[in-house]
Amino acid sequence: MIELALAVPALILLLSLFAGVIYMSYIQIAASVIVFAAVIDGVLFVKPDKIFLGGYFFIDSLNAVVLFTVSLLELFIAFYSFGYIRTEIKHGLSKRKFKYYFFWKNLFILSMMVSILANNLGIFWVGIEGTTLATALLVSFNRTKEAYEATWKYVLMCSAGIAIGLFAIVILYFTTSDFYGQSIKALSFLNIIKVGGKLDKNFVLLAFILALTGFGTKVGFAPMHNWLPDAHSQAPSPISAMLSGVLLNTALLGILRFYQIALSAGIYSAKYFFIGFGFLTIAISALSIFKQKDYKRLFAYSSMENMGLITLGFGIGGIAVMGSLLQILFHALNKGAIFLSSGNVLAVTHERKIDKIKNLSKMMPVTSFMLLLAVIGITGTPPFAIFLSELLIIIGMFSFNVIFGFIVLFFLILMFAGLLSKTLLLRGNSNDGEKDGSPIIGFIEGKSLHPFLLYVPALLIAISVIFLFYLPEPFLLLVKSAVREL
Amino acid sequence: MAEIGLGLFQFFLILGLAPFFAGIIHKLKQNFRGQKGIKITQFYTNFFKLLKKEAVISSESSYISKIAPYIILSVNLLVLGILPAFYRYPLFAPLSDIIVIVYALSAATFFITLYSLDQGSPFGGLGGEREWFLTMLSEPSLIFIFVALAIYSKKGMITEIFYYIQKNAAVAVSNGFHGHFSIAIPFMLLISLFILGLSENARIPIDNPETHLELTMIHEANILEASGKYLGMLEYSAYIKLSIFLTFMSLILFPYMAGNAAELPFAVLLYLFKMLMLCFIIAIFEVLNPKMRLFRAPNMLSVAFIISLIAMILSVRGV
Amino acid sequence: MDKFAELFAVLILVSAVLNAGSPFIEFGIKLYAFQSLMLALYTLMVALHSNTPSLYWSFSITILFKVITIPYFLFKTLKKTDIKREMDSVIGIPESVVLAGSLTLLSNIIAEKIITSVIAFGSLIFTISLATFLIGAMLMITRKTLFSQIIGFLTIDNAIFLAGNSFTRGMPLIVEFGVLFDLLAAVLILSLLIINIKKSSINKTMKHN
Repeated sequence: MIELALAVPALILLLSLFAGVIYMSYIQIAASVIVFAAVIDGVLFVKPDKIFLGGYFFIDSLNAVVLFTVSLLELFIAFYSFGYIRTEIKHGLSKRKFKYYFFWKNLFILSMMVSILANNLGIFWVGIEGTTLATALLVSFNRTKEAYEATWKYVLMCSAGIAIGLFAIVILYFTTSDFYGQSIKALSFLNIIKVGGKLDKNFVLLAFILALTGFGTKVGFAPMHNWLPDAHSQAPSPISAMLSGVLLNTALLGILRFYQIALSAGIYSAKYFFIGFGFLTIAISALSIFKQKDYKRLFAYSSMENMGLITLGFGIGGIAVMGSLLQILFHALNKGAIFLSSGNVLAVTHERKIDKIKNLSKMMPVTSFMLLLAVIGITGTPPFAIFLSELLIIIGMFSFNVIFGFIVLFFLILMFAGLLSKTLLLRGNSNDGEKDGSPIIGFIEGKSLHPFLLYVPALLIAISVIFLFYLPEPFLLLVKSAVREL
Repeated sequence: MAEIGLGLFQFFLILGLAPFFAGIIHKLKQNFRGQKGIKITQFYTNFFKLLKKEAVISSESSYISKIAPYIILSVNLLVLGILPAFYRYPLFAPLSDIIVIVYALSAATFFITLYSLDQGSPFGGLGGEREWFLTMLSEPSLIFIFVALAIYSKKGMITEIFYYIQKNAAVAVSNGFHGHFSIAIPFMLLISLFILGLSENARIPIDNPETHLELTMIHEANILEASGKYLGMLEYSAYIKLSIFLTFMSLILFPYMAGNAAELPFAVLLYLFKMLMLCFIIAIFEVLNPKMRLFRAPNMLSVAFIISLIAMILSVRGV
Repeated sequence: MDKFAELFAVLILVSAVLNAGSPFIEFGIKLYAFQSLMLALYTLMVALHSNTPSLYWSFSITILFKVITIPYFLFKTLKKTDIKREMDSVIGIPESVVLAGSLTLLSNIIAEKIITSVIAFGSLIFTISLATFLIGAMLMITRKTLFSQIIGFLTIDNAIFLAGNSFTRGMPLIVEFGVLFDLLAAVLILSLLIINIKKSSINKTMKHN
């Protein structure tokens, strides 16, 4: 029943044009539950290797991991959105502003699902470009000058990057059309893999490099990352969580498809590109985190670092690949928790600057505690699941090259220090007492916020802890078979 | 003997018609603007009148002022004699190397600026400086255009180049556009040469040949002090230069050169038709566009340069 | 027919160079429409040459989307925002034209290195599309006005379509249609953003007073 993952968002998309925001938030929860159930059914309990909808879509272990991550996070986001909209409206945002919120959100989810499940590289491309366009107006949701400028940068850079990706697809199509003729078959990923060994190596390498730089823009690789902190910090918090947690992985999936094609064509040097880009991304994000003044930008840089780490893991190979695949899921959950809990802060204070917010631990004790836990989690500290995946990547890295391992570890420590120090600053007790503290008089966390706003991040953190000790057996099998594919 | 005779005919026909082409552009422009306009033969009248007038030469100037107009005129006549406008064997056919053409034209520019400096007038220096500013930018394109043609046809002489293009075009048309023949290269060269023609002949977006406004004039500033027969010669050289550029354009546009006396009448008619068409296009272009500031001229000339560069890449790659 | 195809392909490159050489936005949009027309005619020539029916479709949707619809929306937005010319580009006009020329040379060298197998119209089209691609990217980087950046992006897209229609007998129709639709949506969203940015900057100054 994996088709439901495509059909339900499409249906909700149409529905959201007619139904009001409040009704939509109920419908969205129902839809997300259905999608999640369909994905569990299709991915974990059935052996996933099948083609559906006329061969345009397929599912294998690799995209099953990403699909599972997307639908799981989406489930939480649906609940959070439920509370978020009520809270924002209560705090004075007009209902009209949310009019198209669910439309764009569902378009975003639909295009993401399309690109994850696409067998056809052309359709994958259309889906990825669709995610950019669908989120464009969500990023400019606040309608400030900064938001518009962030959107501008986001749409233009990502569209140009994805256009480069299209060039890669065209070049690949040129080589594969020798085998399948000038038809839609020649763009099918499964077909391309089948004839991988016979493809012209020059063209495949060129296509791989173009895809890496093109879709890499969307992943947020280092020289092309300028748009990422701006866009992720300007979007409404649930959308930020989706952008950071799963959209980056979706774009990375496209690069991995090209990587698989390159491997099947016998280009083993492709992994060095992964290592290079991954390392550069980690280094740049770790170095730029110290001068950040906006806490959502801080977390956006952390996403960049994690994507770098995941890419590095894929490049190194061996045990690190497993670490990377696990990291995709764990990072999404943890980053969700971070953006959602910092979303609570933003929803109440409407303040993005770190030094403008003080006394968070007194004003919003639960939220600030969750934020702290989630930040500790994202840096890979033991009681959270990321510890496991990062450990696997680091072990792989040290067995690859010891000195390189130390350098990367150094940057990870920098990241840890930067993130934690800034978050503690946010929480910090200022000696002036209440005066510069609470922005809203008579604010009580439990009453002013919708309960979902507190439950959802807490649940995400709890799951993140549970996954360290117990990973569901079917998921583990899925990851293991995905490792064999790479 | 027949060759020399027809070559002389070609030479003197273009020489005689040069003021006519300049005049017709002028007349057309005035008509487009709704003015009554000059007579088409006005420039002939001007020339003969200037020959009769007394030449005044500044006492500060040296012998350069006396010889420069002769040199400029003779250099332009040399280039005119090289051109296979409508007959395959021009008067100075053995000289018709592409390098000779480009450098003869720039020698004329050199002497005209030398002449302007020699006058000791403040505008002379101004005009010379501006002239070189433009020539510096347009000369590389001019070289590129001829080199592109040479590479395209693998010939070094201008007569052979155009005969080669003509022959191949005829073959290509007869067998459905195959063979060594390109549309793109001549088209790009034509665009580039058109821009260069405007700049080298002081036409409107770069310079205005009709005014003597000291802030903007370029060509006029060079010959501001000339008078009598010297002015006549300098103006006639300008007409010849315009005819040379127009002829090049007409050759690239549609090369048709008569090989013998029998084909000549048709070739002459076709040549005149092409020239009048180009005059018409230039007149329209000048009417529609405003004159641009001098420092925007590099924008236009750099585009011409890059277009001729692209044409050269194309011809190197082969067709 | 391939001589005409070559001419149209070269004109795509020339219009990109002209775009680098002009600071006027309205002229830039017109040039983009011209470039798209040349792309469409090129596609038509390839279609005639290779007798591929899908390319006729490609020709007509290119005309519909790129020559008519997108320039129409851009002109409409231009009217609303009232921007006349590029205000401050990073480098001057002659420099960017010369840079465009060097990019053409560079892509010529790259194309000669890479192309080993025989492609429909020779490696020339690869040179042209790569050069147009790079010039589009250069426009996006060096220009600061929002319109010029859009035009750069659209130029990149035309270059890719040129490559797609020349190496291969066109992309599959469903993909091409999806790509064009996405492009149109991108242009619409960007136009909306231009208007909004203009509005919000006006509002901001009014609030401060």
